[in-house]
Amino acid sequence: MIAWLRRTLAFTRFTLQEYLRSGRILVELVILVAALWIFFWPRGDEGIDAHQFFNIGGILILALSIYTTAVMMGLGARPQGYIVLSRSLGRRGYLMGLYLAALTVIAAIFLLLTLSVLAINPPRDLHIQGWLLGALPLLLDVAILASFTMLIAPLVLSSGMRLLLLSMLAIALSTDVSAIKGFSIERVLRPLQTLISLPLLPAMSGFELAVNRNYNQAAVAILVGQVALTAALLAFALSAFDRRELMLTS
Amino acid sequence: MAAIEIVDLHKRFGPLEVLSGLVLRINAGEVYGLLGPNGAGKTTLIHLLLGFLRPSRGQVCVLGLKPEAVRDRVGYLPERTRYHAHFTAREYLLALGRFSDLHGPSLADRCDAVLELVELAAAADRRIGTFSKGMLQRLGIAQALLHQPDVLLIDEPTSGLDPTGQREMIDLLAELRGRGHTILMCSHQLAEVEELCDRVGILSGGRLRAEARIKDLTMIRGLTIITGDSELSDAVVFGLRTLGPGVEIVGREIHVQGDEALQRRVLRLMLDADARVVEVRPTGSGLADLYRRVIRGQLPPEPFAPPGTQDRLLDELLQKEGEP
Repeated sequence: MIAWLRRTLAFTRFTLQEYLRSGRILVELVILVAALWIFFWPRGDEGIDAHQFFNIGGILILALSIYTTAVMMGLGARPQGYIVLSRSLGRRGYLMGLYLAALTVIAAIFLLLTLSVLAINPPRDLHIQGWLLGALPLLLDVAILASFTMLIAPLVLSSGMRLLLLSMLAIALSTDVSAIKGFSIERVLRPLQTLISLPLLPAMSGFELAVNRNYNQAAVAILVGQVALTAALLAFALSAFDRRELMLTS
Repeated sequence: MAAIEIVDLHKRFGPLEVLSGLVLRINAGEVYGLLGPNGAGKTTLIHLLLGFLRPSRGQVCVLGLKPEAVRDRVGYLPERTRYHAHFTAREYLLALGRFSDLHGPSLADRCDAVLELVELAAAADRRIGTFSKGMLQRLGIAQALLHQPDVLLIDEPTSGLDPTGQREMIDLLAELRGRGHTILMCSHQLAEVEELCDRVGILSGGRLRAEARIKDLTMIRGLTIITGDSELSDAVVFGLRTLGPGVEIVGREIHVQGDEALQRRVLRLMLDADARVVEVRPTGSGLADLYRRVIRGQLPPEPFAPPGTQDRLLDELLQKEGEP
């Protein structure tokens, strides 16, 4: 296990080095600068508060986590991967390495966002403890979203399975399935929506927790739920990648 | 012991069956050349041996185990290798070494050793993106050897290289021959297979259509002697005709089909008669001939003989041509 972790972390470092040297990181940096200018630049007397910071910053970081993970998965799907995959690192180490590299980039961008906002327009009621309490569920949401993005990457799942998963997600997130005409369809879709949206609950509640930082009795359950959902998505992705026929193309 | 053993291997991609009932056994320490036209399934076979693809049916064993279990004992050089171009050759090898559980000074020493072997020591700290094709291919060999594997899987090693690059690569692979690795080399180049391999198999239509020892195929099975005389003397013609049906005179050319003793007798006769010999050309490049026949479908299409009788088709071929 320790040897596997060592190999995986070595591959994470390697992937991060490539990400930085190839200049791909510039996209995240440009988005960060644009977001700072649009949302956090001081305008007028009224500054921002911690609630606004986590709300806007959280959405930005979650959107970035989809982008960065998708790019990392694209890097992993190139023919360069054959030489790496033929080594003891194996498929699981390879996929986890890509995932951890994506998480590292997103976490670093979030840290940079926080420091930049503190420098140019410090939120009124944001202290280190409050920041930590908001950052924890937010980063766990990032982990969930990144693992889902990894799961639906072409490297991991076949087109059919990806389509199925995305359809399920669409049903889960659909605001009003009763708008679909037809009694029988609604009778099928509504319980299905309830069933499918259940696992998404920790992710939704996690974002709320990050924004409100209201650590009541349910907070621990939300955090545990976020960790469990991440673990489940990762296990699904690793298992699918283990069975995948690897045909890496440029 | 078999380093690679493949039994009744089938591989399908949708309706397309790329490999159908392939049987192949490569002994430890052997250099095996796999020939075949484009789309014959050579790269698919290598990817199955590396565990990138799963067999649709049949078994693939490398060093007696499933491919996933022996990654640390197998080296791989892909066809048209793509590299992480933003790293230097040394950084790249160090990283790959860490993925293979090599660390510290032993890894650094190993990197230096393989870079030295492939003559890239001077370019070790140059970015891979600036390398020529030949250098990239040599780097490919370096990474394949880095973790001192028992088995090397090499796919089209000279593909895309200029003649100088091809020669350098063949010389490098020839150097590896004596190091005890089991090598499976896929190629289109008959000459490089002939030069480097102990045995050769020809893959076509998803099956191994023929298999033979290179030394049997490359045995000189005849000579063509070209004389400078416009007409051979009667004594020479008479002497040649007494040597039997293996000697044929066509204008200024004398074709000799037979063993070494017959070839010697013909040459001796020519020299004794003071005939002017302009050129002596060995004939019977069996590999090219065998390959041509297999690809044209002139050999039986049934799956090849089980291990132990793998030179049957070659024997048939030789017998057809009147050889013992």
